[in-house]
Amino acid sequence: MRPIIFLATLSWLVVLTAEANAQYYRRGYRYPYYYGYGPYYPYINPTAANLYGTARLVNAGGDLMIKTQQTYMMQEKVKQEKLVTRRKAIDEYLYEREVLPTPEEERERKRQEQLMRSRNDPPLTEIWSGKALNDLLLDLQRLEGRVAYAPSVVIDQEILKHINVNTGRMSGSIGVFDDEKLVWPLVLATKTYEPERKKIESLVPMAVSQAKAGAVQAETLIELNDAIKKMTDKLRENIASTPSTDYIRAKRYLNQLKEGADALQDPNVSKLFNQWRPKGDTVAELVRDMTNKGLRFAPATTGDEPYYTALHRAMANYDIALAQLAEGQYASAKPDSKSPGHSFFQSPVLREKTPEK
Amino acid sequence: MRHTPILPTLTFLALFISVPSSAQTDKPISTEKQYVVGFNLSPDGSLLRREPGGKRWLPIAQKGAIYTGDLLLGLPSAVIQLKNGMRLELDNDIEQTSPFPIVETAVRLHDSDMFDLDFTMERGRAIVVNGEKVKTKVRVRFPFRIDKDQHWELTLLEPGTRVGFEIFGRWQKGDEFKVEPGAGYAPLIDVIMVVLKGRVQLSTDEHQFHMKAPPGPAFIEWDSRHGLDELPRTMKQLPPWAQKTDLTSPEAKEKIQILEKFRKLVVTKSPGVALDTFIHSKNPRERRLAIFAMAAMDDLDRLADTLIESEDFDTWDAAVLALRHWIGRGPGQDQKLYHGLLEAGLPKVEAAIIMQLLHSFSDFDLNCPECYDVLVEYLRHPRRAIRGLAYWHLRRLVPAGKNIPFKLDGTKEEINRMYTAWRKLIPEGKLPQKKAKNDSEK
Repeated sequence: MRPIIFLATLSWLVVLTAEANAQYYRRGYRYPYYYGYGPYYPYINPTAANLYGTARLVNAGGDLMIKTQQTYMMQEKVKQEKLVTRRKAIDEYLYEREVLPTPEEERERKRQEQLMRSRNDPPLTEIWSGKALNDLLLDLQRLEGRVAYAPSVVIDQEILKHINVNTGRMSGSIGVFDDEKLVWPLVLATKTYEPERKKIESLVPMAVSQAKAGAVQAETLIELNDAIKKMTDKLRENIASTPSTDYIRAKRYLNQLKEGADALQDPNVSKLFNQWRPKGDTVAELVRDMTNKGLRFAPATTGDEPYYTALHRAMANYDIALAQLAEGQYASAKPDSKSPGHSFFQSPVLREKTPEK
Repeated sequence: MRHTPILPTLTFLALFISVPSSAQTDKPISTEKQYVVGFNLSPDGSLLRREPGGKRWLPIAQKGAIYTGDLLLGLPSAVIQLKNGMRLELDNDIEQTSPFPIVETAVRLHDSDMFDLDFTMERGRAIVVNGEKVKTKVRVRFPFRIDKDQHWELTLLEPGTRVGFEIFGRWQKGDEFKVEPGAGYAPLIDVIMVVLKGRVQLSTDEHQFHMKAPPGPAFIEWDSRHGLDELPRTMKQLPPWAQKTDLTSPEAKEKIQILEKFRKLVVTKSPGVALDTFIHSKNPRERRLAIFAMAAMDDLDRLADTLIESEDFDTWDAAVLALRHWIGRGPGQDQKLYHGLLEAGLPKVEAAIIMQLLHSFSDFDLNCPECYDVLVEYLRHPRRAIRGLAYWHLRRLVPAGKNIPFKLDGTKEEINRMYTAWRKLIPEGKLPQKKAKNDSEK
């Protein structure tokens, strides 16, 4: 409102000025050239000037009213436009919610991506770290119940002896302590590291026997971790005289020892040494066994890598076959199919029955 | 931290010294009988020769004699004209259009009654051009065994037939350096033959192929891991390096000018003076040429001195590439370098570290944090060469670190600062962060 009052006041002033000037001119004190036309400026009747001023005043009032209403209209339009914008924002939000994936969908998409990678020749590092095997394990756990009739893929039992598992609490595994004797890389087997090596070699059997009995004592764990740390520090100090490949191998082994020591803290460590070993004559049985025990694959320890590669191949083949069967089963179960399930039982992928026990 | 005193850390004494001399003569000085088989068709100094068992490189004048047994090293577009009308063109890859990095070309000619041309394809790219005769017989020897034999025989069926050869060797990713190599320890060597014009009959130890220029069965490849192709491969058109190259780009023109300048220096002064002049040039391309020329001429003494003096990363980069190219030439090259390092007084362990860093890490190692840990720790190594090589690897593997200053001879604080910067980028026990994928890659 204030701008309107100001404008109205201004209008009054303009009109008054005109009135004043009209009077001033009537008195004849202004220079004849004030309005720029000198003695040729047209003479205005004073009465007409008054009327003129009054008319201007009335006009101004009318203008003020019109402009006030126009202002109200503009304000109203702004409010309407705000509503339109808000509605568009809501429409956009609804559209995005409809089209964009939810966090769960995004997770599933990533899982599928990882699965494809783990099936089809993933980097060896992913196989040996257990990641690819765990991706396949997860998929097989999902597929297991969905397919009634699945081929069997046999696993060589020698392979399973070299596969490490854990409960998922820790990233490492006890696999490095499986053998009675630790297998040291070349650099760590030298005299330089003899004191630390002997210390670790004396602590490991003690820790393992305590673990098998139920739980590892805190003092043993602390001593073991200290010894590993001392060896790691010594390796770093001697880096200048250690070839890079030897250093990498030695460091990797020490990391495995460290992860193994961490795994010894697992509350279920005795089960990991005793009952909770990967078992199964076929991939299906292995998956079922690990599912029942809640186990996951742990990283390979040095020397176990070829076994991990072999197991990965077997699991990948089984997973691909199972996925195809599951797809075929769903395809044949479509409403327009003449014989639901028929094409599944005649699937060329099936070659042998799962051995009955 | 103890810094290396200023000693030639990569100095080679007996094995690889190239002694430049201003006394240029075309007369052979070897005691073995050598024959003139042709002459240099290209300008003075486009071809260099080294007599059998010798160490000096001598420029050959235009129309200068070419002797059997000499190792011939060619600048781009060097041409040997044989007495019987054939030509041998030594090529390089100025435009870098070949899938192989053809850095230098070297051949050795032999005397033969049975063949119109008998030569050893030592390295690089050479093109055999037939004269007016039909059914010209050519023997191409290789410095290593190709399957059961060490040579191929060609019959060039038409006048003007052109056949190109490329040889390239490199240690593969993950090939570790072995102090005591066993059987089969060798870099991957690749040999290709392309018929560029006309028709050719190729005879190997077990096979005979008819090949012709594109479009047609023009291409055949052998490599040391997989052997010879079962059949020649059909090409629709000539490879890019064989097509008429447009050397009008500013970059190509500059390279040609630099090569011409180098050639003139070789002729007016000596190869050694040319190398010294170029290595101290302000033009990085000239420095790069000098480095690769040093390796091509087996002048590792000079190359070592360059590495000792230089703090410029571009120079180091070129030198490391040149050395990797040198050790990849064939079996035994890396052993030569290793023994040269021992002769120079380096401890065995440090020499082994240097050799391993001149090889490449495997994909498995590159996915292990321990690999990056050791490279970062090597940045503080007492040996300058090891610091430099570690930085070179890190710079290539982790481009995000390219702005970290390359300080090999700084104070202890400067080197520690370099180390700390890299450690911040690659924390211990972690892999470097990968570049985030952008939407287009998704």
